[in-house]
This record gives sequence, C-alpha cells and structure tokens, in this order.
Amino acid sequence: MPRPDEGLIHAWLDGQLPPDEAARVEQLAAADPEWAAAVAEARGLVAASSRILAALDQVPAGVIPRPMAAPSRRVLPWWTKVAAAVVVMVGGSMLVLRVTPDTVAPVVRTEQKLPVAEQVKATPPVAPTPAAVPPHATKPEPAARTVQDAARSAPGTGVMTAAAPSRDAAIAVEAKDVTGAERAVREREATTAVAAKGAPTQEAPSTPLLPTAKNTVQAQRVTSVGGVVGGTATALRAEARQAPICYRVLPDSAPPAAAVVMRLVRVYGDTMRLEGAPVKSTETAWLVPHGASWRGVMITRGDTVRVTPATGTLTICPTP
Amino acid sequence: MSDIERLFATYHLPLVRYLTRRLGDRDWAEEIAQETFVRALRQEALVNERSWLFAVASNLVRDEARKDIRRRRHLEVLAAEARDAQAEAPDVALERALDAADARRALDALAERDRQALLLREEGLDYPEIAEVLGIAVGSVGTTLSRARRRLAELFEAQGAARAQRGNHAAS
Repeated sequence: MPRPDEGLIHAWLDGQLPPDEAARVEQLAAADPEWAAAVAEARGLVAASSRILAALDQVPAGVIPRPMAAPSRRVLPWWTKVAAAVVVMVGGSMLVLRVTPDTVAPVVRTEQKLPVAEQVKATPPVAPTPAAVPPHATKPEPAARTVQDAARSAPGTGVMTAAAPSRDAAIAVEAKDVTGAERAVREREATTAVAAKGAPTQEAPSTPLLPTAKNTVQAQRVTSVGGVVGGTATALRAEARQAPICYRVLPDSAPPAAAVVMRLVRVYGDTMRLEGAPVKSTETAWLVPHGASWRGVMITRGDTVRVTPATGTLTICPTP
Repeated sequence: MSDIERLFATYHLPLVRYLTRRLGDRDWAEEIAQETFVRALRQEALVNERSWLFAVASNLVRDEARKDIRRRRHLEVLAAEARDAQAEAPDVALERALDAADARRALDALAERDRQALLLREEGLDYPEIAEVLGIAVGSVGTTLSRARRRLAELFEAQGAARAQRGNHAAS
C-alpha cells in the first residue's frame, strides 16, 4: 500500500480529484490506518487554516465599513462608478501625500514639553519647538508650568500629568452642530493641539481616567482639558495633516476593552477614514495621553460622547 | 446588467476580502480591487474571469509590495499594538485582536506562493484556477496547499505559545 500523500489527501478533501482518484483515496483512508490518520490530520489542518484566516476578518462593532451597494441598484452606468472611484482614490491619495515626511517629522519627533492646554493657548500653528512659544505664554496658574518644571516637582509623572487638573480627566460631551467659523477655530486649535502630541518622552502613571461632571465641556470646539484633546472629525483632520495618528475607536455600546486600534489612512472632504471605517465630520473623537502614547479615544455616532477610561493606546504612526 | 457590472457584483466582495487578508489593510485592498476592475474594463474578453481578476490583483499587490512601505508601516503598527496588548488584562475582544495579530504574523511568515494559494483557495478558486494564477502545475496545487496549511497552523500555534510564555514571564 502506498504511503499517504498529503497533497493528494488535501486535493481529495477539497473535492478537486476526479471521481476515480477520489474513490481510490477514499478506499485507502478506509482500509489503511496510516492513511486514515493522515486524512484526519489534514482535515484538522484545513479547518484550522480556515479559522486562522477568518481571524483576519475580525472587525469590531461600530467600525465595520458599510456594505457595498449592489451595482444593479444604481441608476448610473457602470463606468461612472469606476470613474468616480478612481477620482476619489486619486484625490484621497493626493490629500494624504500632502503630508510629506518633511512636514511630519518635526512634529512627531520634536520633544514638545508644554502641557496641551498651554499649547492650545500659546503656541502658534507651526512646527512645535520650545523656542516657538512666546515668553508671554507662561501663565501663573500651576497648569501653565512647563513639563520640565512638572517633572522636577512630580517625579514619575508625565508631560500630560503636569497639565492635567485631575487624573480623573474623562469628559462628558454634548455634541452640537458646528458653524463654519467655529470649525475654522477648531481647525486652527487642532493645529496647535497636535503639537502636544509630538513624541512625549516621559512615562505617565497608568491610573485610569474616569469621567467627572466638572470636566464636562462643550464639543463645538477642539478642546484640550488635562491633556485630553478632542473635537469633531473635521477638526482632527487638521491634526492628521500634521501628523499621522493611530486612533483607537470605541463603539458606543461596547466595554472599553473592546477598543480597537484604527490607523488613520486617509483624509478627504468631510470624512476621515480609519482603516475601512469612514468617520464623518460631525463625529467626535477624543485623545487621552498615556505615557509615551495616547489612549482612550472614542468616536460616537450619537449626540453624546464620553471619554472613556484609558483603555487603549493611540500610537503615533511611523512616518511614511 | 452589463458584463462589467456582473463582474463587479460577483467578484468585488471576494476580491476585496482576499486582498484585505493578504495585505492587512482594507483601504489598500479597495484600491487594488478598483484598479483590477479598471483593468478588466480594458479587456475585450476574459476567458476565465475569476482567475484573471485574482491574477491581476495578485500582480498589482506584488508590484506595490516591492515598495513595501505600507507593509512595513502596518507591521510596526501591529508591533505597537501587541506591545500595548501585553500590558492589558485580556478579555474576549482583546483575545480576538491578539488572534488576528497572530494570524497576520503567521500568514506573513509564509512563502509568497503558499500564502497566495491559501488565500485563493479560501475564496473558492478551484485547483486549475489557482494553478493559473500562480503559474504552477495543477498537480502541485494540493502539495502547495497541504504545506501552506500545515505551516500556517504551526506558525499560529507558535505565536500563541510565545505569547503565553511572555504572559507567564510577566506574571512571575
């Protein structure tokens, strides 16, 4: 009796053998224990590989891309869809390509050491360097201390801790419609806020950030509270042009641990795309610093958003 | 329904799934799929449309993969994600994410031909179609698949074992 042929067995299990050969393999599997064992193992491998590949399709709730509409439902002829797709693709790519390494690198790599709140107030929307902060930017309240000061006075606490009035700096937000002027303000502030996200160098404590009523803010503007930066997708889009960001997105109903890292892959029009999921301009995201990365980002599709406890890392994407 | 519409309706989903699994990047997969259909438009006739589409998509991936920038970036993101995940208490969602990361690493570690054969088979291509896409003999597809499946399972298991070991070290 021949030795078991793995390739043959897999072809048989895949239903790819002609009838006569399939019958022969079947007979061998029934008569010879060695063949039977090889068939059993091959069945296991077929099932295992399918399961492993299916794991690549895991997409958490709330971030699943909308299913493609069936082409037959469209009124437009087929070539318009293809042309539109090409235009969108090229346009989107050009927008992304506008973030060149030259413009990104300084933002990502600069060790910006001012609190976020201070950044928003004091830093002009340019590449963030300590020298770029005007002298008058320093304010008397403790939150205005520089990071170096904070680090000296509170060893072990991080950049954002110095700026945070409380480690319980989670935020309840009521989302509202946004005017064009407010959006412009947001975008400008987002430009400054992103400076604070450039490569923090100190490790912050891992205490979870909890929501408190006193930290409730309105969401019309890009807001910086205790190192938490937030705003609508439109505003954060401005940030994204400065530095590619990896967002961790939480669906409304899921527990914080269900967060998923979403890489910002494209910005176009009123939409930014996180992996496969488009995030519209009216949707809100919050970024929470945690050590050398950013955590606790949530994007909702409802009226109310809440910054969740520090549940995931917001990683600075490698510069393309 | 025109031919191209039928083609799109029939193959867009499996093609994007194949590309997404292969690349680990849905947007990139969508782009490659769009380009594949654009190229299909230029063809007067397709003899074996499924294998043609998957072959063109595979070639486009190969061409782009030469630059390799996005893949490297993706792997770096995965690495950062895995590092972060190690510090968190696992739950079901996290476990799924780790499974996905392990699966990605295992798949990426396969030889290109094995990887392609697996993914094409998962999309329902039969052996002659897979042979056509890969440019190999039909008779060797079974062997290729058996090797690829075994290797994938072994690599995936190894990833899980290594992760468990890291977890034990961290706990002790």
